[in-house]
Amino acid sequence: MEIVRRVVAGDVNAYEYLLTKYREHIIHIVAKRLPHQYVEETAHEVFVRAYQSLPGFTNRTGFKSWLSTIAVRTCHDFWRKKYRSRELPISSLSENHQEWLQQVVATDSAQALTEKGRQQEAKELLHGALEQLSPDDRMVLEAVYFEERSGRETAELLGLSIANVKVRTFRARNKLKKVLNRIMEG
Amino acid sequence: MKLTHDDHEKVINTLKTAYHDHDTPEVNGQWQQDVMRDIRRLGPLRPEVNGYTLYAQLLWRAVPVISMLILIVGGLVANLDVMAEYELGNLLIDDSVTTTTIDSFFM
Repeated sequence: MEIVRRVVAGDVNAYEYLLTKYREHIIHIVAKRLPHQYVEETAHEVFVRAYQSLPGFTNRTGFKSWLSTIAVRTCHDFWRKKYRSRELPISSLSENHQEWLQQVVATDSAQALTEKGRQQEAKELLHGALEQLSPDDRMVLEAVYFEERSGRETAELLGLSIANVKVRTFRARNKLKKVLNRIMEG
Repeated sequence: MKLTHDDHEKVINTLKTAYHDHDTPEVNGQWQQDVMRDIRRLGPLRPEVNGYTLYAQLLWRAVPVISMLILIVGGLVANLDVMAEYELGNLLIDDSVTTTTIDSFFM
């Protein structure tokens, strides 16, 4: 907190301490949500945004949590921008992904995933399926299903109401199911 | 073949594993230098002056003026009340119409 106070008071160089301390954490958050090639650039943006927002930091939830929220929202903005100009990624999913999906359904899921060479297909399928959703649905789904956050946590993280999170979760889940069905049917 | 509810749960759980199984890129010193260069370009921060702080500052500056106004207005109001009571008393004591009517009964 002392470092934050120094930065807010005008000590620009003190920010490097925060950058060094939290960069791995932020890179980890961004890497989970974005394609590999956009991670560094987006993490860079997160730290610039955080610096600009620092005068408004109230230490209500702690610096790390506050910074994480900025990281998640920056990823959200990334997908919003991408969504406007995106191509249909479903076309990039091949028969291998369809096979992988069928294998998961037919056998033990963990076995299907850990089989040599299949992890990459799972990741590609995950990204391909999530890209079919709107940025809001995608972020809600990631927070609720993949990160197992509560409705309240997700609402705070994404700046939505709890009711909105519940509605979006239900809708996003159904959309994801339709996307996976389409892949299954080929 | 469509996914059943159980199939869907199974797929979601498997994708959840894939979601958490990702490579975190290693950022180098150059990345950190680039971030700090942009931060320095933005310059030092200024503490945010929020609405409450601004209100509190203005309120303290206005305290002498507000106190004077309260005293003046209070004095005026108190004076007005005295005047009003005085006028009412005068009306009751010096009510010539009532006196004349009562007098007419006894005459």
